[in-house]
This record gives sequence, C-alpha cells and structure tokens, in this order.
Amino acid sequence: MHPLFSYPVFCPTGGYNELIDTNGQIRAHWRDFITAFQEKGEKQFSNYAAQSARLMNADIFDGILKQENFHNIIPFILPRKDFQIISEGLIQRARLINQILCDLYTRQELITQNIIPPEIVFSNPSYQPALKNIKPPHNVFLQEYAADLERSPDGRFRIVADKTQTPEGIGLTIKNRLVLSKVMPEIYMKAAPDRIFDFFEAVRRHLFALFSENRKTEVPLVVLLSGHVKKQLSFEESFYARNLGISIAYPSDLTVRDDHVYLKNVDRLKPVDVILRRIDDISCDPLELDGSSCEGIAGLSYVVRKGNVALVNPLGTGLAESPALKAFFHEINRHFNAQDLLLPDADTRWCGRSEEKEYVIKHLSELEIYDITGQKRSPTAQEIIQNPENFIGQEKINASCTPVFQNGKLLPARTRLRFHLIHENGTYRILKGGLAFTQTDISGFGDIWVRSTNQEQNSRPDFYTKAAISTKPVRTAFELTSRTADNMFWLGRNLERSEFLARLLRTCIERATAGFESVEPDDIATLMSLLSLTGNLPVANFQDSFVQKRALEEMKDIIVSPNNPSGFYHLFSRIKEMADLLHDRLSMETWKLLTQMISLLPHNPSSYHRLLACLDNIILHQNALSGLIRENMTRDHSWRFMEIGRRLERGLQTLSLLSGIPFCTRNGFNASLETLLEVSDSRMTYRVRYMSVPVIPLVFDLLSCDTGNPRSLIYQVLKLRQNISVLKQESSLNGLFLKELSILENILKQINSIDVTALAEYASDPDKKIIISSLFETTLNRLKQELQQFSDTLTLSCFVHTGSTRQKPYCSKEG
Amino acid sequence: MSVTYRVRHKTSYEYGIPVTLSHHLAHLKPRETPYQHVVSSTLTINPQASFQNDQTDAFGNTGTFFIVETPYREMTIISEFNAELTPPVYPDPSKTLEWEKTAQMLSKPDTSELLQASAMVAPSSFIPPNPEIREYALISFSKGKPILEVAEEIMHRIHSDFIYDPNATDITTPLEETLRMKRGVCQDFAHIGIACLRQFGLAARYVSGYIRTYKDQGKSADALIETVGGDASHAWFSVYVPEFGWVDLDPTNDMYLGTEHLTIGWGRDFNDISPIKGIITGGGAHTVNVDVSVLALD
Repeated sequence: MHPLFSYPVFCPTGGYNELIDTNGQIRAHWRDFITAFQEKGEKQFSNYAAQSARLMNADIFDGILKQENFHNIIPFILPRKDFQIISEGLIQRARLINQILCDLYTRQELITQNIIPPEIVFSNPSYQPALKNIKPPHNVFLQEYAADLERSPDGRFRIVADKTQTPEGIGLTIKNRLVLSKVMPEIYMKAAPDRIFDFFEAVRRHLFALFSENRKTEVPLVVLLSGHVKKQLSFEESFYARNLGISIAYPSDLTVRDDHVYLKNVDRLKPVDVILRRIDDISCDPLELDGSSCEGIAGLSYVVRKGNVALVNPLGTGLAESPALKAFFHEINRHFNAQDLLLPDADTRWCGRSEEKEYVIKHLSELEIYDITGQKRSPTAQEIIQNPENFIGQEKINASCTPVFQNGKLLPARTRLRFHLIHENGTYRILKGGLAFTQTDISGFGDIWVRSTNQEQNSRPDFYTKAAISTKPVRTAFELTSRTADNMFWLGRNLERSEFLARLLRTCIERATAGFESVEPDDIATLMSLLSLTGNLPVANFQDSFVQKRALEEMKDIIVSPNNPSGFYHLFSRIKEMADLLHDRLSMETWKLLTQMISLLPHNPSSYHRLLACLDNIILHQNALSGLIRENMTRDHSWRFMEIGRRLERGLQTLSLLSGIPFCTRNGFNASLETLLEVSDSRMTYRVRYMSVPVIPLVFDLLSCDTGNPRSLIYQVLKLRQNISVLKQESSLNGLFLKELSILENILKQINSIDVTALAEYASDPDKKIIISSLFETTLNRLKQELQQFSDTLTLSCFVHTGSTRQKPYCSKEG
Repeated sequence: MSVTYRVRHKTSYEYGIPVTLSHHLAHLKPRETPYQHVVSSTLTINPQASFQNDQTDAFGNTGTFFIVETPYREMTIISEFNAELTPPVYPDPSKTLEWEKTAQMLSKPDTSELLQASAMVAPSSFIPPNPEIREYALISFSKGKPILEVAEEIMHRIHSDFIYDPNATDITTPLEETLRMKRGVCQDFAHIGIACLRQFGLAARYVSGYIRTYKDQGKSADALIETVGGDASHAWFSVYVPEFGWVDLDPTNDMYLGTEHLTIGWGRDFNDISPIKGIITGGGAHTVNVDVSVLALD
C-alpha cells in the first residue's frame, strides 16, 4: 500500500501501475492531481462523483449509459511524451490502413505480389465486391479512425483494436470533458489538460469539404446517419452531431430517388451531400450489400458509385477491422513504406502459416482466437489443425491499471484507451484526449488528460461555456423531417384514441356494474355497440344479458391484457415508442407523462371497482397531458402534425358515435342519446342549448354540424383545414397540400348539406325510421372514407414522398 | 455453326395492398462472352420506373437499377434480347492441369486472371464451408486427377444422385439440407457443384441464364424438365481451368455448355446475380409469375 492512501503499489493483476512507480512514488504527471485530491479529500470527491453522475444522466437518456456503466471522475493522465508516441504511431497506422483499403478495393496488388494470401480478403464477409473500384471522396478511404490501446506490463502501449467503420465515442469524450471541467473547475485548471475542441472544428471542416461536384445545393447538407434504428436516441450520436452542427438522420429519413440521396422533409426532398455514418457497411444498403435484411437505404451504393454522396467512412472500410488482415500489417507496411510499425499491436498470428499455427496451438489458452470472418471462437487444437487457414490467434495484453473513484475510494482498474483521428491535408489529426474504459466489478469510462510537463505551451483549458456555443444551424421555416412529422401525427392519433377509449370504457363499465334501478336498459347496449363500432368489441346482440356479460369480460381484457391488439397496453406502448423517438421534440415533463402511461395499467385487477379507479387515473393523466401539450408546446410544424393527428382521430370517433344511432336502430332498439352525449363530453353543451330531453335531430346536429361544439365533427374538420392552411402558407412550394385541402372542403360541404330536419320524422314515423336510418348510415360511411382518404393522401405526400401530389425538386417533370 | 436466339423473360408481381415506393436491382440483360454476342437487349418495366440506369458490377455483369414511385399493385418486368451463340471450344479434360496444382496456383495468384479466379475459391453467403459437402465431394478428388475431369465427374454425380424437384427447396434452404434430401432445382445443383470444387481450393462460379427448352419438338427430355419447373430461368456452374480459362458445366442437364445455354452473368453464388431484387414499401402478401420463352431464330 502507498503510505499516503490506500492505493496498492503493485496492481493485483500484475499489470503496469499508471499512478505509482515501482519505487512507490507517485508518477510525476499525476502529482498535481493527487495533491488536489488529497486537499479536497474523499468526501469532497464523493460529492463530485454524485454531481457528475447527475450531469451525465441529465443528458444521457437511457442511451449507452446505464446502471452497469459507471462514470469515473478520475481522469486517465497521460504524459506528453507517451502521447507523442501514441500520436505518431496511430497516424502511421491510419495511413497504412488507408493504403491497404485503397489497394484491396482496386488493384489488389497485396494479393498478386504475394504479401497476403487471397482467402484473407475473399473469405472475409466484410469484403464486398459490390464496392470494388468505387472512388472514395478525395481518394481517401479512411476518413475517420479510432484505435483502442492497452499498456502492457513493460510500459509500452499496444494497439488491441482498430475501429475503421463507425469509430464511436467522440460524443461521450466531449460530454466527459464538459462535466469534469464543470464539476471540479479548480482541479481542472490546475491539472490543465490539452484542449480537445479544435478537433471538432477540424472534423466539421473536413465533412463540409467533402461534398461532391455534382451537388445540387449551394450549402452542402451533412447528416449523421444514426445506427439506433427504432431504438431511443443515442446520446453519443446526438451530442456529437450537435457539436458538429449537423442533424441526425435515421435510415428511414433518407431515400434514394434518381441518382441522389435525399432527406425526407415534410415539404420536400432535400439532397444530401455528406453522410457521417454510424451504421456498419453491410447494413447500409439492403439492395446491394446484404440480402437478409431490409434496414438501411435501398440504392445507397448506387449513389455512392455515381459519386453523388460522400460517406464517412466510405463503404467497405470494415474490412480493415479483420483480425486476419492485422496479422500482416507489419509485412504490408514494409512492402508499401519500407518502415516498421512505430506502435506495436497485440501480437496477431494467422494459422495458415505452419510456424504460426504451431505457436497458436502451443499457447492456445493464453490467446484470443478469431476465425477468418472476425468472430471470436474457442476451437480445439484439432480443429485448428484441420482447418488452419480459418483461425487467427491474438495475444491478450495484461493491461495497466489506473485509479477509479468508486464507493468513496480510489481503486486500481484495468484500462483500455480509445483515441480518435480524422483525415486532414494528406495526413491525420489526433484528438488530444479520449476515453479510458475501465474494468472493476463494473465497467466504466473516464476522460483522458494529456498533461504537459512544461508550462510554456499555451494550454488554456476548455470550459463548459466554450463548447456550449452552439453551432446548430438556424431552423428555417420548414426544417421538419418526414419521420418527425409522421411520429407526431401518430402520437396525436394514438393519444386521442386512448383518451376516447378510456372514456367509453369508463362509462360502459360504470353502467354495466351499477344496480339495476339506476340504469336505462338501452344504455349498456348502446355503449357496447359504440365499442364494437370503434373496433374494440366484436359485433353482437348487446341487448342480450349473456352477451353483455361476455362483453364486459372482453372490456376487462382491453384494460389488462398485454396481448390484446386493440388494448391499452398496445396503445400505450405505441405512444411510448413515439415519445422516445420524439424525445428531442418534447419537454421532459411531457415525455415522462407519455412514457409512464403504461405503468398506470393494473396487472391483475380483481374487481370492476379497481378497473374503474384505474380508468379514472388514466383519464386524469391524459387531462394533465393535454394541458401540458396545450400550454407548453410551441406551435411549430411538428405540433401541427400532432394536432392534425388528434383532430383526425376525434373526427373519426365522432363519426363512430353518430353511426351508433342507425346501428342501434338496425339492431332493433333506440340508441341512448344520453350516453352518446356523455361519451362525447357534450352533455353540458346540450343542456345549455336546449334545456330538454335529448332528441335525435338536435343530438345529431350538435355532434355533426355545430361549429361551436369543440367535440363536433365539423369542428374537427375546420381545425384540420386551419392547420393544413397554415402549413400550406408557410411551405415554399406551390401545390403542396392542395389535394388535402380539397378533400377537406368536400367533407365540409357534405356536412353542411346534411338535412337534420329529416331526422325529425325519424322518431315520429316507425316505417320511415329504417329508411332514414340507412340513408344516414350511408352518409356517415362516406364521410368516414373521405377522412380516411385525407389521412392516406397526407401520408403519401408528406411522409412517404410518393403519389401524385408531390413534385420532386429539380425535376421538370409534372408530378 | 452459330445459332441466334430470341429470349423473352416476363416477371409479374401482384400485391395485396399497394406498393408505394420500390427500389430494384435486376440482372436481366445478357453479357458478352467469348461465345455469346448480344445483338439487342431491352428491359420494359410497368408501371414506368421514375429512374432506370444500367451499371456494370465488379464481375462485369450488367445490373439495372430502377425506382418506381407510382403506387401500384401489379408490376411486370419484361426482358427481351437477341443473342448469337457460337459453339465453345473446350480443352481435352485428361490434358488439363492436376487439381492439386490448380489449387496451388490459385492460392498464390500472381496474374490478374488468376486473381479474379481466386476470388471464386472463397466461401460465399449461399455457399458456406461445410464438412458434409466435403465428404460428398471427396471421392472425385483422387490424387493427381486433372481439374476438368474432377469437375466433369462432379457434374455427372450431381446429375445422377439428385432428383429435380421444384417443391423440395426454396431460396432459404441451406446447402447441407439439399445435400441430405438429394433434391432440388438447377440453382441448388449449381451451388452444390461449386461447393464441392471450392472445398478443395478450386475456383468455381455461379452462372445465371436460360436454356433452350424444345417445348414443341420434345427433343431433350432433361431440358424439358425446365419448363415443368415454372421459373424458367436457368443456372449452372463454371470452373477455372489454368491455361485455358473458364469451362461451363450444367449439372441439371449433365452437359457442357454448347449452343443451347444463354448467359446473363455470373457471381460467387445466386445472391450476386439474382434476376430481380427489390426493396418495397407497402405491398403486403404477394404472388410472382415468371414466363420465359427461348426461341431459336432460323
């Protein structure tokens, strides 16, 4: 133990001790930090840790950071001379990898000159012939690169992994730095690590310089293509994108039309010039790169081949991650550059050579074994002898230990370092910092501080405010992606649907479980009919008490069963899914309310009493949500799409309610108008207007044609028209939303032409009843179809971008 | 003596619900080969594609990339071409290089021809390495046997061991299952043949195309089977013979390629040269209909 604190002089793993040298002295580059640590004390550091955890979690929303990942507030401190070695070694390696990729995707001289055996390339699934002879942007394959390093017991750093496809971790690196500088500014000032933010400027410059000459726009459009399809927002990606000032796109946001890639915006398709991808090679284009899945962007490799979009990294770079290829890096470097590698990697041996095979078999238990496709394997010696070309053995490094602050004290933890590089002016620039992944009983990560030992160099530390200067582009009037609009639309529809369903079920269960005397006999049958009209119950003769009993059971199922496709579980999980995808568009409170709805559902309720309590709770929750949405959400375009979804859904529900009247007639009883009014929340309005018992013509009028009733059909259609008109006005393109508007106008005309007085005869003359009833049913069905058509048209033109309403940009053809 | 053919290949799709957007890659236009000259070739897509462009892939095949943006429930793709075939010349199998030496050459490819061939030695997605295939193939690899004799024997064996049965396999059936059932269609037989050769370090590729069917004359019983299969595009394999080049063998009909096979293109396996691939939005359940006619012009 070190005399100053309870930190071991010798690491229990036998690895290199980053903090203390073999004489028991704290290493020079750690002294400032450790002095500060001792001054502040462990208690203060516990506070730092708690504070940093809070800051980390505020942004990191269920992303890569979970309970099992812990944030180490003790930085990994790296002396400048070590960083220099790493830096030179990694730059050399990046250039070498670039040379290798250039060769293997063109002439394959490495194979014909017998430097590497052909199967190393051709047997590797990451080698894609479809990508051969594609010229990468500026002729550089490896645009961005990251490497994982470990320090072996002899004090030398060794490369253990190359990240050549989607080198992740930069977002986390920034966040790390910001949090530490905020939580312990004094220590941060004193230890003064090198700045890292100029690196992002370099990345930004690099990305914006890559646009092709065939581009269609003045200002290049650069997006980060997220790999988190259907999952929640990745903090790493969103933070990186935000710091680069580019937007995030999911594969479904992008589409190939003609020979370009476009971002699907609500009002138009915007040509994309540069894609910073976070998706592996084979998942990028389902049409050409992988036959097995539908993920990715169909036709992307075609556009790449045409040179009309720049990918960073270019497609095909995954090949360089192959362990088999790594076994030949030394020879390849000698072949290309007549040099040795400055920074050794973990010793890697391909068993296709007999002396290497013998070594691997002899040391089988000490090595990491991969097959030629890069999968980790644990073969027997016999299996290797039978098929030696298929196996690669890699040395396991006994990695060094660095201090982590865990449970209030410093502990040694095995460490792996990740460094990032970006191509710049024919060479590479390295980020002067990075991530230190640590392993104790849990895995964690921390910052890497490159420490200058001489004070002369100008190392003004980065501050939180420094990076908080956002480079995010100003949102122009219609900067709304189709995906966001689509999700907002469906969020609105599902919210409205669940609210209506909750009201309907509550009223119905209340009546059905109350004593006989207080209930009109047709009330329950009417309510159940409505539930079957909205598709929640199968059609039946609801006047039969046995049928009612069964229906009641089915209603219970809607509330409690996770498997009911029209039940609350399904609806609420859809809502949660949407809310997660829209997380950056919703306030924290709104998001929380939306995602918590599912927890309101009872697991196994014993009584209808408890079911009713649960429904009350849901309705209360929904009211709170509606209030938040009404009061707190900016009336931007995304809000309008949610509003359109809500209004459309409410319109369809009102139509279902109205259909209840002819439906009950057809089934031989009179619909209970009281319950209709109650479910549609219009009972008070009716009383105020008419001060009498509800009659069919007036109820019908109130629910369909009364523009003053916020629950009426016409009110919803007017709101739809209002929102679409605003969107139309603010969109830059003529002709947009014309079809949608004309459908709405048509619907309005039909509603206004409904002759309510004809319904007066309904009650008086039983013979006419059937005829009038079916006539109205036809009208209602037609209206329903038209509303549905409105929805389909909007979907095609704004979300899918096909159909006849949309013109493609820069295309003279009539749409 | 050369023969000129007119080929018409019609594929129709029907969908339960409308397809709103689709992207496709079709390998339907034939390529030039030493024994095949393409006189004319057209591809007609209905509904009309909003974008359509031919490109040459890494193997030299023509692929047609197209996008349909008009919502549709039915699509037809018609490929029509005229091509002239001249009888291929083959080396005497007994005089070709020993298979071991061939494999040796392919493991150190020092010319661009050998390099291209060596890319056809490695396993591919439809043809993964498999010990059962190796065992099946083993008896044809006697010591010092000339490469083309090996390939020819494998063709004969597949032809006699396997039963042509369009209902036995589908696109997802793994190779070892086909081997166990000893049933399948031309595509399976081609894959089996390629797998046998690759297991021993030899280069073999998958060839997609058509065969003359003799619907009227009823000359060739084996070839007639093709018309029974419904999907009448055909496939076989090709083996690399040093100092000569590629030799095409059709295990379904147990024959070397003459002037009855028309070549669309080749790749490592079916996946590289499948006639029509598509990624569609919408569509629901669908049915496919394929109709091929191969007509010799006098």
